[in-house]
Amino acid sequence: MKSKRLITLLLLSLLITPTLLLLYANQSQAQSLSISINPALTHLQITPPGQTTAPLTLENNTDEQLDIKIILKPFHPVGENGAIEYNNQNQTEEKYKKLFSKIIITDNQTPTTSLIIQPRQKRNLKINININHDEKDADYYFSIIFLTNNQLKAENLTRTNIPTQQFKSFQSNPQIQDLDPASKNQKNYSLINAGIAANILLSIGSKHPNGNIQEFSTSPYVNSGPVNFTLRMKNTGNHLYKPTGMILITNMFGQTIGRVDIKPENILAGSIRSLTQIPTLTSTAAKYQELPLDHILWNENFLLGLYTASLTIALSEKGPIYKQSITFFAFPLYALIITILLIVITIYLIIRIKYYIKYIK
Amino acid sequence: MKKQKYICTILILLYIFIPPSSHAEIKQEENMSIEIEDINLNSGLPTATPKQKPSPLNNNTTEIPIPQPEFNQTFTFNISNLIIDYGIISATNSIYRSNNLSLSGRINNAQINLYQDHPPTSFESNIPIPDTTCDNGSCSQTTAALWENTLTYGFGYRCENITGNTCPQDFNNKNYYRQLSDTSKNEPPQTIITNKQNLNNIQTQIIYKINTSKTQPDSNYINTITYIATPGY
Repeated sequence: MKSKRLITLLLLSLLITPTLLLLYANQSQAQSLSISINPALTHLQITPPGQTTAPLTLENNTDEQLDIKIILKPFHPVGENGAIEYNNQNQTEEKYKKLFSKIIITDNQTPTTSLIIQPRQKRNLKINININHDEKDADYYFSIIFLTNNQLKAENLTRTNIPTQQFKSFQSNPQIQDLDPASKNQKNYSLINAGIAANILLSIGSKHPNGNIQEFSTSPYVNSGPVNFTLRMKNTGNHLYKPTGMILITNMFGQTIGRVDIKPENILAGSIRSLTQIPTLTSTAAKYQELPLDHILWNENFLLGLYTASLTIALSEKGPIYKQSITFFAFPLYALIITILLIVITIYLIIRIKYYIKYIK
Repeated sequence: MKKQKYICTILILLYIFIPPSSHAEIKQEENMSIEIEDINLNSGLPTATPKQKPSPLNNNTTEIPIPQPEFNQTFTFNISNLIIDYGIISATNSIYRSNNLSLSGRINNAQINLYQDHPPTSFESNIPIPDTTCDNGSCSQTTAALWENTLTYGFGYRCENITGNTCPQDFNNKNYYRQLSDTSKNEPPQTIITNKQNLNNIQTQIIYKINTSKTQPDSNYINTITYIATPGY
């Protein structure tokens, strides 16, 4: 009799456990979001009158359908490391409003401002920009933001005197239904919206880069490597440029003993950017992660003597080229102190011994 | 006399070994030349070809590197818990909830911006749970401050690093909270995560805190919090 009960209990637990696990899994999936965009950054150039298109792929990595609206938002660079800041929400400049009227995002050749992406679906979109002949030479920097559409529901829900019908629709939201029934009556929630942005750098008109080296420096004296170089480039023109260049390090005998390649980065019109380096082949992934965002590292540990670092940087494939050299002196300070101490002690000992010998004589 | 000789010898040795400050001089602007010309990238710039120690990237050439396209252009944003359920809110009983954010792929200089449409607000009476001002009244959307006193009321958040150091520095202190930017008051979104360390993957936890007073009416409080993940340029 007891054994029958045990078998029944065992069978029941075998049935209930996977069911609970499945329910729990569904719940956790319903409350998360994963979305990818490719490419994250696009640089487009148009000579007016003209048009251009660029591909953009959006991928829903979750098992839930995503309801998305598309927003265009201008930004400006902030700091000197490639970070951005959106222009004030209610102050989209007139020139951007005019530009945005000429941008159409198409999904399968159909213009769209919102999307529904099925679970695990990848959507290939196109950005179409059509510029008239009277458009002035200028750069425009903006993000295309794909924002989940929970906001609309939330706006409706949080209005005063919310109609009962709308509240019922809120309660019938499958994500809300997944929540603890005890707390469902309390209705104290923050709904989370998530957006992902692709940045567009648009240059209209002829492109001739203008800029200069704002700063190329290093510490004049170093104990040992690696040596930090600061390289800040300024864009004084109307269009962005992406410089390429390198730093060659020569020792006091004129031998080139090191080379650091500058990582090409976009320097937006009217801004300054601190440049970094291309990771070397000898760098491990871990070392690459440690590379700073605001200066250049010459990864040489043992240094002795006077060195010259020569920077050569081209603002574009057609120039102009800038060159600048700096010198720095390297000597291991601890070795220097120990050497001096040893010399002093040796001299002192010699004096003492000589004096002692003289005294004995 | 001999002593003087020894002192002179020491001084000469010190002079030899201590680098004179003039060696540390940086060549200034006059050394910079600007040349506007057509460039052949294969022509080899500059022309220095002395005996070389193997260079890290390219052993034999001193040409300006030709930019290579970036391979991974995909930018991915993950967020857990799309509904933060505070459960039953009771006076002076602090409620903590959290969700995790992560970024991967092309995330050089990437960032996540945060804002709310308004603080959690009762949709029956339109009364909000106000933004916290923290224990000494000094926290704002841009500055975090200590909030651990159970008699300090409001709604706020803190950012905790899971990988690297991507949260604003003022969250390094325990129990430091900020207010959320409120778009209904035209407050600009705040950057809460930045890839300062050039990481390949960022993971962060956001902790939300609500603490109400006895005068806060029992009601249903709801708001919308928006996160926008943005790549750098």
